[in-house]
Amino acid sequence: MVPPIKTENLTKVYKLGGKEVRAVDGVNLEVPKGSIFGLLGRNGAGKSTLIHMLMGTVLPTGGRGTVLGYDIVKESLKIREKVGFMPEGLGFYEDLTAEQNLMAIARLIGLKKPKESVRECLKLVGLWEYRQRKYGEMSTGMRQRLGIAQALLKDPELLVMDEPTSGVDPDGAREFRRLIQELNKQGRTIFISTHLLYEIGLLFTHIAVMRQGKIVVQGSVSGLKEKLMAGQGYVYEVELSEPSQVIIDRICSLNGVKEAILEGNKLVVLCSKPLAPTLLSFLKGYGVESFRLTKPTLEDIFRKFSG
Amino acid sequence: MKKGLKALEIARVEFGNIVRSNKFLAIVAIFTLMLLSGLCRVTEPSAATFEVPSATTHEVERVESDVKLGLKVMNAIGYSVLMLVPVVAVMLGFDVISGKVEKGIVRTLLAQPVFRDHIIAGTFVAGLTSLLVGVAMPLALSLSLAVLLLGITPSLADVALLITYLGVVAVFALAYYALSVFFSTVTGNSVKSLVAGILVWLFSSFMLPSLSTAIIRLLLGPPKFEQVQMGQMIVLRTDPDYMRKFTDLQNKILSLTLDYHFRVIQDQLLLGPGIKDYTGLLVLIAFSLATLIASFTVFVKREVR
Ligand SMILES: Nc1ncnc2c1ncn2[C@@H]1O[C@H](COP(=O)(O)OP(=O)(O)O)[C@@H](O)[C@H]1O
Ligand SMILES: [Mg+2]
Repeated sequence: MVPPIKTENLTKVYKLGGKEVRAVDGVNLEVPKGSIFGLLGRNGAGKSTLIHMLMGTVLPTGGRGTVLGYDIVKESLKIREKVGFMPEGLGFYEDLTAEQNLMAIARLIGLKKPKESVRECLKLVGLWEYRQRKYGEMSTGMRQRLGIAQALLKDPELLVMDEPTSGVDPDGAREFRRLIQELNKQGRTIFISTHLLYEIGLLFTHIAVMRQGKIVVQGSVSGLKEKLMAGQGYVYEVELSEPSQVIIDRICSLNGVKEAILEGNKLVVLCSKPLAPTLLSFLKGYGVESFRLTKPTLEDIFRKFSG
Repeated sequence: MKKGLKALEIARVEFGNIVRSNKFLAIVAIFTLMLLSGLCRVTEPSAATFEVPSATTHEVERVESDVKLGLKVMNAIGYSVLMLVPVVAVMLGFDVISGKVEKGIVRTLLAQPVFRDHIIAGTFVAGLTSLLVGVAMPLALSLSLAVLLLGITPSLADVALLITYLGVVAVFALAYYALSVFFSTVTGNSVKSLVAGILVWLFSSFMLPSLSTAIIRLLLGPPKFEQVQMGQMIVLRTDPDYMRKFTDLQNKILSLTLDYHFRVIQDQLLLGPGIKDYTGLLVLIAFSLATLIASFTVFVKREVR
């Protein structure tokens, strides 16, 4: 089966007054079906350019790609007909209401039952009560929700969103997470770009980190955490009821242990490989109250790779 | 959906948005009031009667009896129209493309199954319709108000003349509108485009007419005079040859402006029996088409930013 998004060596070079900017540089991306995929990277990393190439609104200078099996150059109209797309910095007609704006788009897409679709989407994003409000008089949060509603009109199996939570307050972000999770449960694949992990990082099942136009790492979040631990070490935190300084030296002599620290009754052990069973059996006599492996966060992965 | 239909769909929405905007309503209201105040002057008692120079007395009679009122109206509002129409056109056109880019509407539209050509074609259709409405509505409103309030009854010939006039005004407006849209497309910045539009208008309406005189003086030297015998007296008169050269050059310089071409047509209408020389009109139409095509090309070639 073809993955919802797949690119091969996708490249975009902008020419700015004789100078070349490699905005996207040989990207090989694969987004698995049913995932919530985070495209992470700092400002200027090339996320928006990559997304616009996927949607066919920017032409690649090299490489190729498919979205839902359609070629991003030759079949971009088909892609924009099927894929729910929320571009960065999107806006609507200020003197038209939420409902009028969505109706206009529904007709443009050529939906069979525009009225019903508009009603459903307004309800889904929680704008139904505000449907008569002019876009020019809406708050940032409401505008963002209208942006999502616009993308949902197509009832898409793939949803692509470029920086959807920028400028949204924490409540709005929580609401956004809930909605994305619900949409994902319905079987939709969701592709989100962001430079802010705060608030939405927890959503992702898969990520790719972009840096200077290149994808430096990609994969499932759990797999990447595993990889990072393999590189940097496994950290175990143990709470003991009968701590004693003498165990430090003995633990450090174990094969695979790099360092051990005792702070009060909390023991922290840094190992170069997974050592849970060994440690547990070793610590039996000291009254183990809790034992856990501290996993790296998404932030750690992001910080390590995004430069 | 067919290609053309998508453009029309965009045009429909766009037009709905324009006529609901405060800007549009304000422009229509102000334009209507200015025209109405011009029209009120028709009823002013004047010492000098309006004269229609014409070759035959027969024509003078016809004009005076049939379209006298129409000419009076044109005469009353001609100056305001010449001054105001460019401003209205610039106000309507300066943010047509740049505003849509700045507000992210282009991005939203491009997220749908449409191409950039659909967007700009739809924008043009909506813009031109709104321009026509923006020029026609105030004229129609102020004229009907004049009929109702001032008790003027226009003849059929009056109405025909005024409709012709309206057509010419619309073409003049179109030229300024197209120019303004071009600035809007190229700069992609509403403020810059507004400034550019206003500058062109100021330059062609106020600065160039005075500048041209200075330039011609530099080219031709100071005016030459000749002595003419007039009965008992000898009068000093400007050399007709010099005068002819002067007017020729001035017309050549001013023909660089849109205002000049409109004025040529307007003057013909004011003189009576209709338009004889369509050059001005053709120039305005050609200019509008060329600038609209240029904007279209620039917009379609550009990538999302
Ligand atoms: N239309 C354009 N013309 C020239 N350079 C561009 C254009 N769009 C983006 N860039 C450049 O490409 C790089 C990547 O930009 P972008 O894709 O917007 O990054 P991100 O979305 O990750 O912030 C930046 O250096 C940016 O300046
Ligand atoms: Mg971006």
